[in-house]
Amino acid sequence: MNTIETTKINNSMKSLKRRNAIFVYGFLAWPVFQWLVFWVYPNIGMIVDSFFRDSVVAGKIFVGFENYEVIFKGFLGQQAGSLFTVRMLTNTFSLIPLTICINMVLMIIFAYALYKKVLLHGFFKIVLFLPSVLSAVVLCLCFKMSLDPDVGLIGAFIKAIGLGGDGTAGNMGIFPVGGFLGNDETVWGSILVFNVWTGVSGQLIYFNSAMARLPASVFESAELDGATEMQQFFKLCIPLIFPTINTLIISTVAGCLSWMMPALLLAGSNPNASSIGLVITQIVKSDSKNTVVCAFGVLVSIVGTVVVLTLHKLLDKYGQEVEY
Amino acid sequence: MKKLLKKLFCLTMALCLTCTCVACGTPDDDTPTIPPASEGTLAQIKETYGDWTDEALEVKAIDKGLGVQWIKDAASTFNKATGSKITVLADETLNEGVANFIEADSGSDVYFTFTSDVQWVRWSQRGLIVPISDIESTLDFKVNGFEQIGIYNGQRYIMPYVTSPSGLVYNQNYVNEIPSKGEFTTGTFPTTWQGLLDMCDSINEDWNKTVGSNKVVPFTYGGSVGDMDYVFFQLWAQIDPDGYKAYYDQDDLDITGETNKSLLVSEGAITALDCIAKLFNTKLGTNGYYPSNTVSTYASDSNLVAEQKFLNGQSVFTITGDWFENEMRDYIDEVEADFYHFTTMPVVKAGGQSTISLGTPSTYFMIAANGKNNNDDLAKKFLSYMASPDVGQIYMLSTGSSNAFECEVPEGLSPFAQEVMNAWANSRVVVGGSGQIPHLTCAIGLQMAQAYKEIATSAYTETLAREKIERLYEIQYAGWNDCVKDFVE
Amino acid sequence: MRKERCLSDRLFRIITFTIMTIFAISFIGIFFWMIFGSMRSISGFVTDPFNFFDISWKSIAKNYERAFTYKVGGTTAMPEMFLNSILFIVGTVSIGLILTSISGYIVAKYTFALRKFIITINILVITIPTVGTVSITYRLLDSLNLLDTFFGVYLLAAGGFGFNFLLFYNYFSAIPWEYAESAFIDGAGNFTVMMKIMMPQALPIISAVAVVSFIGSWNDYYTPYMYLNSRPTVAYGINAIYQKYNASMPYVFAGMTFSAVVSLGLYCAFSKTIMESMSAGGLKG
Repeated sequence: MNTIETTKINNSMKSLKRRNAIFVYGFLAWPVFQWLVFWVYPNIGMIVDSFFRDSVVAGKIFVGFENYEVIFKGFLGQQAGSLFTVRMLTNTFSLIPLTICINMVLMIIFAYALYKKVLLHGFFKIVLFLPSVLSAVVLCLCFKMSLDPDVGLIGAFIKAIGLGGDGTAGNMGIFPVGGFLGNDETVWGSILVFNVWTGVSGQLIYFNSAMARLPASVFESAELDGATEMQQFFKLCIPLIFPTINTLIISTVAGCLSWMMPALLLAGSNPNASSIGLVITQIVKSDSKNTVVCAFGVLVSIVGTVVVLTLHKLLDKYGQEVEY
Repeated sequence: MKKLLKKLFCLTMALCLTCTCVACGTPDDDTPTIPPASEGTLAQIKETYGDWTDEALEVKAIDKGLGVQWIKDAASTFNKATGSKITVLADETLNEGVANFIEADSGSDVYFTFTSDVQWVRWSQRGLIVPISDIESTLDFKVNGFEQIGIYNGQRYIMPYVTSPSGLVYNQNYVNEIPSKGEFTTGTFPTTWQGLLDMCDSINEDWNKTVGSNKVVPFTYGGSVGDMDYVFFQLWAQIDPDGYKAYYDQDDLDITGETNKSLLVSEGAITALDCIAKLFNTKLGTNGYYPSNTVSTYASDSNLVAEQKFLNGQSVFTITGDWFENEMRDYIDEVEADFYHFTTMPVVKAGGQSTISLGTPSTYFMIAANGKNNNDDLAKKFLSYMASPDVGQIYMLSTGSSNAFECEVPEGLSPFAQEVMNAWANSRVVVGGSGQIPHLTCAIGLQMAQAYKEIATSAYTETLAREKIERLYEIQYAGWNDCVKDFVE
Repeated sequence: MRKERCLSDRLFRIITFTIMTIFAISFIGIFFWMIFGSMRSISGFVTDPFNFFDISWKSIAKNYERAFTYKVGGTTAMPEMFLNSILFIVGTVSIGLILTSISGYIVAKYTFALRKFIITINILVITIPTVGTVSITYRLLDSLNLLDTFFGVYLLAAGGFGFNFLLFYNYFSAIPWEYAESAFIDGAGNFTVMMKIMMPQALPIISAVAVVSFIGSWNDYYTPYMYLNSRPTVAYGINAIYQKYNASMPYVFAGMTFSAVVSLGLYCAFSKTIMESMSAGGLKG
């Protein structure tokens, strides 16, 4: 073994390693730094702050678990006017099955139909994107206006076919008292309808792109073997795009926890339409020094992490990873 | 095809850019509502308030009902007279974000915004707003009792400005058509509560008019925003002005048992709520009870929609206030309405006097301690100027309403505004507000929405009002000590 | 050659077609309601909702003039809101895209001491929801005096971790290293290899992520609502206009129509790129 040659190789390998290290650490320095400042620090700050109260007279004082007590009292209904209600929890957690079982299923079916070139698929590709192009805010407000019993399309239509009014004054109306969005019983249902209506086009592009990358050969051979499109769908398509589904489910669940915009715009401060994200936003907007919201954030983080991890395990367990 | 689309897109973008340039280029060209001030006036302003050449101040004002044109007009006159550079920004959602603006460094210097009593007291305790007691001597309040509003711990922190008497706006054309009944005679809007109820009966039973596909109802109101409060508080002040005032002057910091129950569960409040119950006039429908004198659901309209419906001719009167004409200006122009008139609530008891009740105005001027220009002296002079009679006239001409300070009624008011001024002159004015802690902490704040809802959806009984008022007391009593706690530690 | 389809397939196609048509009609219907609504007078709109064609030049002029000159927050009219939107979207999307793609690439392709640590960071970021930290973040930005500025918002978006990181990581893991190795032998540095060889191969996923991020930012109401009040974007501004004029919908419709037309224009101009990125051929090694 030639020592000089070995040394040369060692040296060049060392300098290569150093160049690599500079490259790697250089480019990763900023993301890690940003992570520390904008993820680690706020999380730690939130945990710490949840044990303090910003008193009007005496500044920040340590209060132990008082903030958590306030939250739980609100849940148990012992505090009138508390923003932390069980309704808020059921609302938020009702979003999860909705987005997964209805929105995502519809999205996958639509993406598959487009992939299989259903009639007018070019037209549909464009139109189903329309909600994403029109800002979600615009759709929200249009939806809200549509339900207005006097001027909205849906409202006026119901009125025109004779079912206007809310059934009290002896009319045959089917409107809920206060309008769909004003009535406590129907407000959340209306918001869910809105979610389904606009939710279909959100991540459609991911599914389209995932399906487009599937090898056509597999489908063709299945076709030749006599499999129907439905069978191809369940046995081939879904397993092949399962990684995408997996990732998107997790991201959707995380998104549900901070979901607030439609509720804010459609129902404002109606307590029957509150969600976790909405309550947090409202509190921070009106009083950024409030520390009860920090305690609530800690609870949400804990619960959310548990939910996401459980889902992850379940999906991995039943997921079918297929190498192709 | 793609080329064409790309060309179209470029064209659109160019259009946008031009619009942006144009929009950015035009200065704030809000047309002033007043003629420019004379040289003499300008000289007088300079003499009173001093020379502030080149000193800047930023004012942020909430842009709702009353608009902000009057502040802009006043500021530009002040600028011309003293050389200052005061800018006014309008923000229609200021009440949502003001808490964070005031806490942040380099927000605006002066705010004109909604704020709850709890909020501004907290700001003053934290030193976020500047005490303005030194301009107290220049504030000539128009209404006795208003000078107590905005004072905490012996110092004045906020300047009340808005006095918006609530009232009824009615359609004279319709009043001329409705057949007489009971205490109501065709052609004259009723001046007694019984007359009002009789008129409503006549509308429903004897008149039966429809506009388009809608039946004309006696009244519309902003149910979804709690506008029935206007009726409740004005009637209470009308029936028992001393009791009304005494309720707001409560100063107990620790409440037990039935302390002061009689201040709320009193003849004034109960009778007022009872009048509302009678006004709703609930009838049994297929889905339960509903108020028969208004649109069939008790809370479906916002105040703007209610006013629009009134202007469309769908109701005979609407529950609103002196801001009606200003708020509905565009719509009035569009439908060319000229039939609307203002009046205070009809009297409930025989021999009663028309009353205007002013609660705490909830829209105030205040000076932020951490504003960007840090020019408290100029800010105080500016507030002083806003309280002067000159600006009072500007305010009146711009909004049709009068502010909290003395000034002469100017020429050129619209007939509607004239009626409002007459109402001021002919009514007793009662102020429901004080500097007492229970008032500032909202321990005595009344959330009437639930009571209205229950009344509007159940059958009328003699004891209904009393039950609801007693329930309100129970809720108030349960939360009293908690409300007060933070302020006495 | 017409394919023979069995009954279940035909049923599937018909049902899917119907549902998609219902959605499509509702979207188009709302769109036309908005356009025609912006051309009507307020009293006409309020008293007679179905009379779509009750349009007049006078109303058009008035509605659009009002929508364009209304200054949200006292400072910003509609065209400027577009500018704000563009600054917001382009900034956040491009910064996020660059950082996540580079991070994903590096972690996928290089072995180094902290690799496991970085992957763990990413897992943490994905699994732990951080909804409640908004109040601390808000105060943090305020103390840095970055609260109402684009720079502050860009900082928030300048993260290298998240779902996009995962997408890039997976994608780059599947790309073979041979091209890069031959480039290294030819003397190219790490940076050159990344930019000239690997990134172009990742164009499909970059476009997909860009489009989705773009749409997300365009619809984002939360970030301007919390952190960028004085520079309203279109999403925030339309709501502000609605708050002021909710009883005079034609003004609001005028604003909405304008924003819709512009965004549609953008969409049409770039639809080819979007379609291409959607059907990017199977890039298999």
